[in-house]
Amino acid sequence: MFSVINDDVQRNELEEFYKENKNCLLNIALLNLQNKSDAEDVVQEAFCEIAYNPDIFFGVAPNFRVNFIVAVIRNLSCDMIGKRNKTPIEKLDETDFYDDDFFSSEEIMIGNVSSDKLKQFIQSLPPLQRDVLTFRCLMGFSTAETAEKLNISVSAVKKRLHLAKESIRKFVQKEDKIYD
Amino acid sequence: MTKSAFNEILAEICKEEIKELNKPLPFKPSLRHKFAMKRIFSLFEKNKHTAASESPKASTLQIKNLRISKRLVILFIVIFCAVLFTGFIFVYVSKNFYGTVYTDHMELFVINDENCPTTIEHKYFLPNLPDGFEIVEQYSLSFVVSTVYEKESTGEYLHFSQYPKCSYSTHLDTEHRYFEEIEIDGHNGLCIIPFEDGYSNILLIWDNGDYIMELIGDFNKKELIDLAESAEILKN
Repeated sequence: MFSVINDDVQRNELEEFYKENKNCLLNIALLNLQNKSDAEDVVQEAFCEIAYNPDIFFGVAPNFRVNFIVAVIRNLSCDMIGKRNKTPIEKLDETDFYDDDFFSSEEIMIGNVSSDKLKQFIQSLPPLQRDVLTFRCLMGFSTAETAEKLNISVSAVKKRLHLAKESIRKFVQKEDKIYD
Repeated sequence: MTKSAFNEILAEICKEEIKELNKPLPFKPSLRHKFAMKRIFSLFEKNKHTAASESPKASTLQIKNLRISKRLVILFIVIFCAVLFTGFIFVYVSKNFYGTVYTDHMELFVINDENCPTTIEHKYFLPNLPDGFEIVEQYSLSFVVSTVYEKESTGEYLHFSQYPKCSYSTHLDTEHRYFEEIEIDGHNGLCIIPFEDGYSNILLIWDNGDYIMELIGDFNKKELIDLAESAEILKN
């Protein structure tokens, strides 16, 4: 079933959004794909999905919409690279990665690591892991919602989250030792 | 560290990432991309009017355009094939006639046959025949009058025909010939001339207002036009 756009306001909003951010969106695709034509295709595909299911876009808070589309484009780019190489970028095993309270509790056990160092480390994480982290923590989507919005499986979301969390945990432990 | 502090770090990372992505030189999207995006945005309006009957996947494929270069190649191939199979063609339109011109022949039709006789009511003849020409063949029907003149000593001939405009359509052999527009008594017509020999088998076709006339013979263009202009109604 199509999700029917309610009025022209949303169409204009999306069009304006594209105009404002097309440089950024096309660049992120180009950065991943290294091919201008493929980059354009991926951006088109992302907006095409929104055209048929506007809720996935309009359900995101306006200040995070660019990041949301960037994540979608990054994901689509990876799919395209996988298809191009005829091997999936991320091979998923059957293992389920269970969420713990790391992202749901009010206090996050980061130890004595400074904000700047943590920020630098998170920036160094693989973008696909960072996107899932942003969707879950910053945008407040559940694992299932994140999977739906990124058009990936729930287990893929869990795996990326698990890897991100483990990386942060190891980084914190390492920093704590240095601090001690 | 509180959750909100952690989220602040993430928000800062997001902002910086977008800032970074906007830094590179502006990406100049191709025309293909611009058109595709326009179509995607117009999908919203389509969706608004078309409810949920179609499959999204099928419509999504419509958005994926072929690249302009591919389109041009396909267009070129189509044109090339069309030319290959049908020959080089173009459409001819004049004041009184229209038709299709192929490499070796031409189809000709009358543009306007309103208020014209549907059968031959008045027969025309050529009063000023050159010396030695005599009628060797003649037939008269409601839809055609045809007269063949011949000069026995030289074998030269003239063929004069008359048709009602409403029933006139013809295929003319234009291989090794060219055609040009002429005027006969102020009426628009065509002259079809062989490339090699401009003194034989020249064909004139003209619309005299009521009928379509054809005159072919072993004369040059000017002589034939003079003969055509001399055509008169045969009085009983």
